[in-house]
Amino acid sequence: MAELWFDRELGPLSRRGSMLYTSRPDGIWAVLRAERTHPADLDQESGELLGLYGASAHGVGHLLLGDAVRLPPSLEQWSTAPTVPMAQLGSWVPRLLSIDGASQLALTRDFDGLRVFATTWSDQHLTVVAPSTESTAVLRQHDELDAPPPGWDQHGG
Amino acid sequence: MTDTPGGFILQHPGFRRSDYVYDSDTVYQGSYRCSGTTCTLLAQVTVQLHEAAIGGSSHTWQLTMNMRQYSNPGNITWSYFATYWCGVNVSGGNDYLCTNGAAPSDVSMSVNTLVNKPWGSTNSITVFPMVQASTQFSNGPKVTTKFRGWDTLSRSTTTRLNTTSGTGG
Repeated sequence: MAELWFDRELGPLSRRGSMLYTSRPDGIWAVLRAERTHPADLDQESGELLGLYGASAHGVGHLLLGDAVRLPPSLEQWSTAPTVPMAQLGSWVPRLLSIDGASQLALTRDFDGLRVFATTWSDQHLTVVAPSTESTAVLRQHDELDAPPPGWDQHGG
Repeated sequence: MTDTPGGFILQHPGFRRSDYVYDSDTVYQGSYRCSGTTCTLLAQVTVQLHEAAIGGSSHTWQLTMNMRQYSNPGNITWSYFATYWCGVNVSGGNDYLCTNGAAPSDVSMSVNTLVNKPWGSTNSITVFPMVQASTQFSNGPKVTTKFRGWDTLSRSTTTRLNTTSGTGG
């Protein structure tokens, strides 16, 4: 299955479940794919969308923290112990990103130098992390990536 | 109503970080080779349940079953498995499985990623997730741990983790 990643060379990648990421001096780059909550009910999914996107920002930070990736303080706090419902994260800004050359509407939120993009694409919720200096995110599907295979930590060595 | 399965407990019991987030303690699952009275560790993995209630008017948890290699001196292989259930906590009575639009119970769940699980639209009840996490080691043993999540107050607009939680058993 093709993997979704940035359309630029960012060096060797790490994998945590369905998240690919790399932590570099210029910041963290990550793409996390998650299944929709109500696959047969767009209405119900829509009603929860802000909460789901807030939760995806929480979750991507949780996964990165689990791999000892250092986060900006505001994202670390949100990813560890949010004190308001996920839909109240707030400060989302609509922004277009690009997937396989097509524009895609996302909500973005900045966390002290990191920008989180949340969008729903091809029946999946995507959470994309990039340095805030990137005005947008350009992604494409890759057949091969320099990344550990799925289940890499289930095998010897 | 279907009774909840037994054996699920708050592991150690973990930590309620806020009104919206609970983390179990980390559990170790290992595989050993035994000869006579001596056993040698072949591999060990860590397992931990992360429970986030989206809160407010949402009736959904975001769960992450974290399973990862801790050590592998025997250079063996393994596979992870997880299975999800949703329970309604009945004070002084039998807990039962979630209904009314809940994600189905006793279904396999992906590990090491975000999984959104709605517990159904019923309000004024207390619900909790359960996840059974197993590691099948290539030398034979399958090690299983049953995680009970923190009690969650299902409300129309003020859903959050309860201040205290049933511990399971």
